[in-house]
Amino acid sequence: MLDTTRAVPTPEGIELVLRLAGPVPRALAWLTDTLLRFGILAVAGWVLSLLGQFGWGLLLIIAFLLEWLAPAAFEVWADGSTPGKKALGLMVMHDDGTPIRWSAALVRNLLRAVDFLPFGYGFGLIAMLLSRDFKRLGDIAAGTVVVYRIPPPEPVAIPPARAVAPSRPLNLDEQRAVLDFAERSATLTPQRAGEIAELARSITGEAPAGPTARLLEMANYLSGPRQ
Amino acid sequence: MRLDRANIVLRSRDSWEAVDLGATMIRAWWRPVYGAWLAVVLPIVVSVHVLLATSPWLALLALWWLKPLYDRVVLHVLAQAVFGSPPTPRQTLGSLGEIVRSTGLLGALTWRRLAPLRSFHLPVRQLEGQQGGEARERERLLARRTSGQATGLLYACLLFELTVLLSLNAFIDLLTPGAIQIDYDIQAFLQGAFVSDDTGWNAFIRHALIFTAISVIEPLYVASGFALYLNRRTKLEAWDLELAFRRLDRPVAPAPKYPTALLACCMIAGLIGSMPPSALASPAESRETIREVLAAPEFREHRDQKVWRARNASETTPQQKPSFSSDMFEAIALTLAQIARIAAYLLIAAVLYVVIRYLLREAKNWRPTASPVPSRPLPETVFGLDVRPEALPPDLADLAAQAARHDPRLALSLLYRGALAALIHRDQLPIGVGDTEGDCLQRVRAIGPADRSAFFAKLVAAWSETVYAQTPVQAQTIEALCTEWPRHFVSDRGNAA
Repeated sequence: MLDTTRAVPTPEGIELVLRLAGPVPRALAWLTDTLLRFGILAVAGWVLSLLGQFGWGLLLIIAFLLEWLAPAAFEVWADGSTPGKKALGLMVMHDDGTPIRWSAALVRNLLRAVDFLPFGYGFGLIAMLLSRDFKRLGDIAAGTVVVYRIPPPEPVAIPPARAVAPSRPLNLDEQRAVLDFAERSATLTPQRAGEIAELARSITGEAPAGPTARLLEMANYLSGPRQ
Repeated sequence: MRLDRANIVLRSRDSWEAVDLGATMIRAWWRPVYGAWLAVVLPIVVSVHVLLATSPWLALLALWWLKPLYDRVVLHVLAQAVFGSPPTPRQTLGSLGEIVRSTGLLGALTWRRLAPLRSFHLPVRQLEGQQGGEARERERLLARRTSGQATGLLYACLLFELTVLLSLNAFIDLLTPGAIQIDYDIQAFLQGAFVSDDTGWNAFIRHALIFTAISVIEPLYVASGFALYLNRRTKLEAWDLELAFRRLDRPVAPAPKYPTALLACCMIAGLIGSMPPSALASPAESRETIREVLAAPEFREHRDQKVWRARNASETTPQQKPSFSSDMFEAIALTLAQIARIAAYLLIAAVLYVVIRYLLREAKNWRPTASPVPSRPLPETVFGLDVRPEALPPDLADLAAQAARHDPRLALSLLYRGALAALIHRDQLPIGVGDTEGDCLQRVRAIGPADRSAFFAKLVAAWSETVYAQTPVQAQTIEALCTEWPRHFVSDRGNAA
């Protein structure tokens, strides 16, 4: 079964699931960062050019910091996201799921020079396509992964109905499926919703109002009374 | 199509995650995908070049223009791989006629060639078999929440193709002796990558590189578009819920246990062979041999060193006056430069100061530890006993001897406190408030002399027996301690304190 996740088992036997980000969103995040950097350098260059050679020196220092240290600083201090990554909803972390620290951030950003080879991040792209966790060479060296920030779950209202208990106890996955169905039933066509609900005959039984309505009632039971 | 036979995890993904799933698909099924690619696309490309041999430009355009045809081959393989097993290249070749006829290829190669959501919309025509207005309606519905990501995918893949192409060019340049010029011309570089008005080997290599770049990226583009399409349908039609509800009827399987890692330990026996003594040369012989070997030309190190040196050291170039737009800015710049210089000096001074101060502070700790630490306050009580010298009588040993008979506890207490007071205040023994009897004994042993620590050990033992064990100690023992006490704890300078 193919998926783009990485499971990190904790000592407590819990499995954390990291949702890995692949080459396309990462390239777009890189593009955003690069354009931003050029923008800053253009504005700074324009202002500093008034100061002659002193301005040139300052500009070179700023360019150096922006190119080599700013990404690492953003990753350490701004929750693992450079501005481009933030825009795409990405963040960097160690591949065991812990927040990134200076050593890893510096390694992965200094090794961008290697990923850039032979031209325009060619090695980085190939490494990302070949490695299991979409790692470029810097990520492999630093032991980091780029993952999606998990967005806060939007509260979706379950259509209110009388609460009815399922005919048999449901395990966690089954409960989740029933609740999912109730939350998403509004986005499905009634025919399709009925088709899916028909598959759940074994837990709905012969309901007078049909299996869809019975599933909604069970979802109200599972989610607890909301009066 | 059976959802429960899908080889990918069907869950409601974020659209970017779906794009990434495309890359995972290519990685998992690269063999069938590239097998079909080479079996179908390579012959097409070669025949195009043979047909248009006179104008390489046109051949290149055709190579690029036929991309929708290649896309259909990739999708044909991927669709079967996701819901079953991937076809072999031979099977793909067999179904090529069907792919050409019934997938809207004509429109795709003409008026829809430049459609931005090409790979995302392809499954509608190829897999659902929709045509005309219905197909357009369906495409609009599917694109409603995903067109942003599908467009981003297109731009990213354009970027990737360019990256791979330029990387291949640069790689060849890097490996070709003498191909790199220092005054690198980016325009010439880009022209070298794309513009091909020459024929022969140059054109051949250029077209091969462009075809390689397309081969690397185009399957990714198709797979990502397909994954986006699958994700959109999973959301629209709740495929993941269908799967979950189908699983309801199955008997509940026991929860999979976390696989315990099996550690296979391989014992590698190191064979340590000992040479027979006759095989060893004598030290003098071996030295001779070593000298001979080292005298060989292979071990003569010869090194050419190149050093930059000014050709005319005396001739200095005249300092060019920087041309500023106005004197005011020059003044500001000079002032800022001065300030920066002063700030740098101040910074260096500050760093030096901090370093020196740190070294000075550390230097104190480097001296031998015998010197006392004056800052530490001397304890007034040790395990509840008052050990200030002024709290003790001056003729302590005599008083203890008098009390030995009728109050042994008082006598021992006097001796013990006196000993501690002398150790703390005269010998500066670092006894802390929280030290135990054993700690004190250890410290006394550490500074010696041996007979005093032996005496102190006896005293502590007697004290512990009396106070803690409540065992009466013989009066003779106490008297012996009293007579011996002044020898150890009364200094020549004065009394016990």
